Amino acid sequence: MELLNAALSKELKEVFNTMRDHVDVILFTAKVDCETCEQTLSFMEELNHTGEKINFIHYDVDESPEEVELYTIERTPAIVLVNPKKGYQGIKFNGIPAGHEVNSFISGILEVSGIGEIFPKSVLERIQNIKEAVHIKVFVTLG
Amino acid sequence: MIESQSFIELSKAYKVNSVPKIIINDKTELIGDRPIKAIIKAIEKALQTD
Repeated sequence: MELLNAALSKELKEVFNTMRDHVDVILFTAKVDCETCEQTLSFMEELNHTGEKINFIHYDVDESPEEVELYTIERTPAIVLVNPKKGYQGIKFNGIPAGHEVNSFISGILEVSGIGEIFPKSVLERIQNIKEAVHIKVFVTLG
Repeated sequence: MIESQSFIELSKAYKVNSVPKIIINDKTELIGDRPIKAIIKAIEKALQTD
């Protein structure tokens, strides 16, 4: 199933051309009990052809216990975005990032590639003062 | 990021009735699209009560 039409694909190509570092887009799927795994896999394969700096990697959870543990994969489909120069910074998508979630997924890729949103200084200072790891879940829908 | 309709049990466990809903350290909740300052404030509050 084609999730990206020609116009969107062209637009995405331009957006991905602004990426600074390469980004590993790592998808975890399961063979059973995963309604959207197959669709997410074809979507990621399409994206892979769209961005030169996107490295797409695909693991099956049952065949890749080390990677499942490394990225704390608890459900599928799951996609983690990793900058190979910086390591895993904690950005994970659970479920297919389709519909308007395409926007946050693309923003996530750009952020990880090093061209994210710049916050005002006062905000940055408060973020820098947070010294411990914080776990944030954001529940969304695709509609 | 969690797609609520794909993970219904988890969404029920966190009482997700509207989206976006943000859960910080599994206890502090923020509902709706909130400015970054509101999110940071919630994080600071969550850490204080740890």
